[in-house]
Amino acid sequence: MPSFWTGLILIYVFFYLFGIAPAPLGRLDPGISPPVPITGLYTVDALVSGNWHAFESSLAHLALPSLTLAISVMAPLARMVRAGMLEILETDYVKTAWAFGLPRRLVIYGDALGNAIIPAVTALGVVFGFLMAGNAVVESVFGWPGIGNYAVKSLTMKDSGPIQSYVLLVALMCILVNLLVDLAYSLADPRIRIG
Amino acid sequence: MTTEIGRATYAADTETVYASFRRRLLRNKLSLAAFCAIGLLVVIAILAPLIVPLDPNEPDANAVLERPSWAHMLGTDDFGRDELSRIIIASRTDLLVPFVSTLLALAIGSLIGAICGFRGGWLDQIVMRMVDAVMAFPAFVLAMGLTAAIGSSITNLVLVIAVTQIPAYLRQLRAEMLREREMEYAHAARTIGNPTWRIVFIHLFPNCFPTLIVQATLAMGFALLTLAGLSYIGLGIQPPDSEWGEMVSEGASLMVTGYWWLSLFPGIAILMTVLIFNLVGDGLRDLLDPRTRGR
Repeated sequence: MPSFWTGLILIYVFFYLFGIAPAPLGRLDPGISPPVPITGLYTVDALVSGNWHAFESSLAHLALPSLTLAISVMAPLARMVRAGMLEILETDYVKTAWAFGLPRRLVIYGDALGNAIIPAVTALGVVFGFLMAGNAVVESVFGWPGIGNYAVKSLTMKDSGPIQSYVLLVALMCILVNLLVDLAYSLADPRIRIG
Repeated sequence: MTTEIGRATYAADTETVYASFRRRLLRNKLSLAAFCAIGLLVVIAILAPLIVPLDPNEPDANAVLERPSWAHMLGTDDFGRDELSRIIIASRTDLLVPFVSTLLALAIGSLIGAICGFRGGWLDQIVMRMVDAVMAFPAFVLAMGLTAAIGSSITNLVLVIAVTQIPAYLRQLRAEMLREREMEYAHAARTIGNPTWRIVFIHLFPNCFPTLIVQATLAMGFALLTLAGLSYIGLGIQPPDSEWGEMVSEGASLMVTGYWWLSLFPGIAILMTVLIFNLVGDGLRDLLDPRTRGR
């Protein structure tokens, strides 16, 4: 599903039709002054400085963009876990768990899900790359002044420097995330030892 | 008794490949529908100039931003151009670019992958490290950077999308080759004196082909998404030529003021086409996978 399109539909439904989402114009309502910069994250800063107005507004502005990005990667992850789950439910140890008479909830979410989720963890690295790409487009849809939007704006102005650095930075971040994923492996799957 | 069983097995074995295909295709209604839909899409794309109700690039000052109606089935945009006609015309670009780029990536990727997988050694090492480098970039971000660098003509878009896809085929074919070259029949082919290129391309390659074709169909969906995304941010197909992503982008600023039909319909077109590619890919996988064959 193209994320730019999902974003637009979400804006139309929640902002124009229902009027519950704020206008897709950046991180805060125009009337609210940004909180004291501590970490740079508006939500955290607002919370730390006790600025409830800004906190609510920044959360509301976060909702649709994050929903858009989440929807774009939900499907492949769901498919992967489903495939894993189908396989795992046929294995001996799950059958054993059933045979012991463990409750359904415990077998499925306790025993099976833990192993079914491993392929999805592997995919997280790829998903992250996907999100970074989607982010560029989603930021420009919602008018966020982020790095993706910056890159897209430089693209339209044929300014090659920012684009080069953007592409390199994203690649670097992806490599780092993939490394972290590989390390996180050992947490998800105790059979894997890093050494 | 034994002869009868023998004959039955024999009959099942000699069911031709095509008959087996047909039988399994007819059983899976969803893939069948997807195959038909892709055929329909291709026909629409080929016949596009003949079946458009109105000229897709003809502005009509009397019908600006009209809601979907009988005269304009999917409404008109801010120049009064008919949305339905534009979507139909755009299907040409939106099918052609993913198709050609996938074909190109398939050809280059599988050629290099086959050679690397079969030969191994230093060549393999060098190529694989290069592939790793390309794969470090998220596909869409890489495509963004490349198009920005070389400009966005249709040829360039095809090339860029192909480049982002090549690593996938290359790695896949290399892995298949590594497995196939140790097979008995590969050794047999060598023993009776076939030259290397013959072994690789005549004997081994056809066995790697099914997985490749599945991968290619699924990749076409991705290629379309990349193309639409690039066009959305203004890097792909340039107006006034129509392309679904570019149409979504044109409608984007009007979306927030309530003109929903401008972005909705091209988006649905993208969505449906990608869905169809994916369904066909899944269907082909079921058809070509030896594990499910004969069922």
